[in-house]
Amino acid sequence: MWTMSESDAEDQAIESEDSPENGGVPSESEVRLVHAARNGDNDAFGELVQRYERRVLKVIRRFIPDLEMATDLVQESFLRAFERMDQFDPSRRFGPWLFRLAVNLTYDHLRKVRRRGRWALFTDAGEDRAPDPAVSDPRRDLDLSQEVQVVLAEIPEAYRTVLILRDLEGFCTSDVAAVTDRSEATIRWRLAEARKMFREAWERRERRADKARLVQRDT
Amino acid sequence: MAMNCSEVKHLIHLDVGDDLRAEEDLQLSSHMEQCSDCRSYHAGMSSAMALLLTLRDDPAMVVDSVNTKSVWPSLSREIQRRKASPRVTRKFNLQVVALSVCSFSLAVVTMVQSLSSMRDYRDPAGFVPAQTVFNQSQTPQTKMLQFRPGVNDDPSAVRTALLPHETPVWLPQSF
Repeated sequence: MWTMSESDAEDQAIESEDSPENGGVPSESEVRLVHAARNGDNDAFGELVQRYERRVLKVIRRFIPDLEMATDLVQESFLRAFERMDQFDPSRRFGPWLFRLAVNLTYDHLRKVRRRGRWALFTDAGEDRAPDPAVSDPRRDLDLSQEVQVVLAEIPEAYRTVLILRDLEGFCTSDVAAVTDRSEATIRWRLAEARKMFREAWERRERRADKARLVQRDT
Repeated sequence: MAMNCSEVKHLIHLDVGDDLRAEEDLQLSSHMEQCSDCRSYHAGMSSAMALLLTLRDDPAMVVDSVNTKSVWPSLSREIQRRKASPRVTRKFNLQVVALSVCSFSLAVVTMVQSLSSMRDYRDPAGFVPAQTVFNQSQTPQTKMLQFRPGVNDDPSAVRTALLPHETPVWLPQSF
């Protein structure tokens, strides 16, 4: 089975090609590949896939940690990109357009799961409940990043997406705007609100944990 | 222009992620020099941001570049398969619409017929046009509906006064 062979350095190079420093203009090699892919060149499309698949997978896994499901969504995203290549504006960069497809597919998947969960006889909603005060410290069994992940999940989707793309995945605000199809001013506002929401959610969690510790000490 | 603390807090949220523009950075710095509340808020925000950034390098999220299989081989097969099989085009099915319209019309006709048969059952003589009931010598103001013996002697049938140009309407009690 074919495995990824590009080094992280190569990946970094691709990321820097897409960085805001190059003024949001697509690189020459990317233009060439996109042009060939639009004309039905499968190998060119394959090269685009290999350039972007790891980053797409990483972004999707921020929303859906399950590797298998995330990989399926990566494949679905590229398939959709291939089918809609004729709708892509070649004067723009391929990356934000691809990430928009991937993020939208991820949203669709999450909505489907939520809808299914609403009608299912048994749900796993209990996992997200507030910690039971009778438990000494609900964070005891979680490491820091898991705790942060739980707090992040409390933030509404539109704000969480901006936070994930900008702060965790390092997209510039103009790319986040392109991916989410919003203006840059909206993204800046959402970003500020999302960071504030994260802080408030974290502080709420801290207070709950302190309260639980006090209850434990009293009993 | 001097900014208030709530406006500065918005800038602080952007500053912790290095998202401030040069002029905003100046405004924030000059406010923070004088405001201890905003300085402590900034410190709290920086701590929260540091926590969030622990996720950035979370090993659970790092994609193993050696062991993770590329999606391209299976994707390329899927693309070939789709190219080989003709694309299914969606066509508007007029037959379904025609059938629905027919069913609806049939339902309406059946309903009207059943209503009229119900009326015939409850009032075998049918209703009598107002003009034949009214005495022509009566003035419009006194033209009250007269009850015909044997036809309108049902006390439950409520009739209201009609003006000459109005047509009486009979409704079955079930309405």
